[in-house]
Amino acid sequence: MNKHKKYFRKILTINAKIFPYLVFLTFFFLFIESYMYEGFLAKILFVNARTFLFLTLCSSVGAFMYRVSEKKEDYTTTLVININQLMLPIFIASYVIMQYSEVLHFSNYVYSTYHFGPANFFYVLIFSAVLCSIDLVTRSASFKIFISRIKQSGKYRSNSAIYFLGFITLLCLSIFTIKNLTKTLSYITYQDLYIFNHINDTYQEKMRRAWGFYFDYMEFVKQYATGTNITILAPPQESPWLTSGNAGLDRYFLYPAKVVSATNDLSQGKDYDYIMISRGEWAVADETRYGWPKNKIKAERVWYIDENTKKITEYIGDYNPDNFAKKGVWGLIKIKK
Amino acid sequence: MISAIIFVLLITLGIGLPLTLWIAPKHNLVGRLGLSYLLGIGLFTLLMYGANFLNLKLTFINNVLLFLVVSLPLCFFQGKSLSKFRIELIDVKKGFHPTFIEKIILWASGFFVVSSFANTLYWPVYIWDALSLYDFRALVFAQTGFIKSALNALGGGFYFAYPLLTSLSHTIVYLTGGNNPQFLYSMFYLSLGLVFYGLLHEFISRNLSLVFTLVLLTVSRVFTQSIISYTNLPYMCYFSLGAIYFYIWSKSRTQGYLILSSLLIGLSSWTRSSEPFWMVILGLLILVSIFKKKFKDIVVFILLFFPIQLAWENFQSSSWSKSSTVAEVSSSLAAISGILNVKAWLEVINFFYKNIIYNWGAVFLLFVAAFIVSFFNKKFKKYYGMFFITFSLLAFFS
Repeated sequence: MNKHKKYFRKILTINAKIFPYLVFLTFFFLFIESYMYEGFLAKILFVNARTFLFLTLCSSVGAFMYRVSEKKEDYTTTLVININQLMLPIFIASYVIMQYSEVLHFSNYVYSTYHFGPANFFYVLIFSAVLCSIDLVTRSASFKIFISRIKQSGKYRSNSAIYFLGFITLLCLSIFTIKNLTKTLSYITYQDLYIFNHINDTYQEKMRRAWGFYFDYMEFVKQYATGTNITILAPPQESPWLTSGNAGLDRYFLYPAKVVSATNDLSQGKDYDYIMISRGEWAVADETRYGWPKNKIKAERVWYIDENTKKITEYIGDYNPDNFAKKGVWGLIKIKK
Repeated sequence: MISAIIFVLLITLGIGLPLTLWIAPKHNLVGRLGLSYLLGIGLFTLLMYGANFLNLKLTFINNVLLFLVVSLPLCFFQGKSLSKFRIELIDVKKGFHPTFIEKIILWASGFFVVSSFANTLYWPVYIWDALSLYDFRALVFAQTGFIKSALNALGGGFYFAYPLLTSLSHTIVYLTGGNNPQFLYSMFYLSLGLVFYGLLHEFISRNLSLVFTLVLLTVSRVFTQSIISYTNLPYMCYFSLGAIYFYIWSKSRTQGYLILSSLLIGLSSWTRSSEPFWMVILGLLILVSIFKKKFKDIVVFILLFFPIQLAWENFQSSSWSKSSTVAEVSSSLAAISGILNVKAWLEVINFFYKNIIYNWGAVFLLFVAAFIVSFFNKKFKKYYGMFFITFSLLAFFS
């Protein structure tokens, strides 16, 4: 037995001893971050919980290699692996329940009620699943055949560079896959549960979910801006009217009406038939910016829509921005020509 | 809605499939199925566009007629290959006995694909750019029946900003009685997986091909793009697969793969025209052809790629003052001159550090070590370019 091989075996043995404790520590740290918040551990220990996850996964490769090469396993490792296998279905069920609660109530419901973050908890699930997968693969007959073939061919001695490259590639691919799997699975779970729970939603309900009040506002404008070849003036495309001020977007809902974004605050013009009254959807620090148009406009009539109750009120006469407080801040002006 | 799905499948099997059998008769069976959708939907929208300029109104009946005019001769000439393909499909199905691990991977891949379809069949088109541009154009085309007059009536360069592949594919759905064209993007996702698997399986074992296909399907950016109506995923499918076909052609010299590459790269410019990435493939093709002294290949690429690319480019520049291909090339060359700009380089290095090196941490150092080893190792020297590209992609998409 050469010197290098001896050292390698020694490292594998030490790794196999510490591996179960690393698994325990990683679960512990991941749970702490699920309860507190992401980055909590980094503040205290200067090490992220995910760094432990990464280290333990590297260590797991060594531990399972030890199992294959030495054909034996440490008792504590077996115990930890078996407990993990038992816990995996519980983790999956808990995660699904948490996501389902968020779908039933609102986004961030679990964290705000129970102080437990499903997004961080998902790392616990992924860690458990990856450990189970590695265990499953290294126990499989095809993996044992693969290892014995490498050993028999003896190529790994002369091609150590290739095996080094192989190891790095595998490592990068594992991190890449785990990162993506975490993001994608978490997203899918929420979306699929949402769909399952709202399977009979109408087009309006789905669009309201996606766009909020803006969708109701567009439906309101479409209902009251009547006539052929009409042109509607939208607010300027700037904060806080980035959504309602986007003429291209408004046009999708209001077609065949033509929609033009205002370039300045002088909203009165002969070319327009209607003018939108928009509070603004985007947050701005300067509250005086909310509400458009800001100048008086000669109008045939003005309709206002309440954002909360969706109640529509009609006012015959000119538009006066000072009436915002009384009439609400969303509406439509039919201008007097 | 079902009629729209059936019509899209008919385009796939009636136009895409016989075309792939004609162009690449020895192509892998699974990959061929995915490729059939990509070619079928891409080329059919191009035909709709061409026919519309010859005054064929966009209606359901006209779409069916157009489909029959193209599909029937193709199926007639490829009749033998089609029946051979059917027998091959049955044989593969009979002889397919996956191992336990393969079954798990297949179920997992299936889960991602089904989730994508569940999302796209449930949610209507709701994403910002799709509402203001891609889907809006489709609805207007379906209502008015004519592309040029509709775009001119809408007015403004905004409606000419992107080519029409996705908009016209939405129009197909609306004209066929469908109300939600989002499923087309799940079809792109599925096709990407199938072609990627098929091409990998030509070189490596079935189980490894399945593993790497699953890795691709789980990439979060790829999945999220499969459930929204943006042009990004179709562009990625056409361009990346076109580049892969080009790479395989440059190694194996299978002529069909060069044709497929030209068509797919052409269709990528029919999806998004602002990115000049196709120039990279053209540049590489010129280099490979000069090196191998086979100039015929450049002619093949030019004859297949440019008619597709210029179909939109010419219409766009004639309807709205937009730079031509020549101007695009010269502006790209001008950008290349910026290569000497030290400040820009510092910004690139800073971006690279913050987004790649920092993210990967110690693994990045190992990667550098591995890259150096691969560079000096004789056995790996010829692959180091591919090795570098693979790691860069992993870093970017992680």
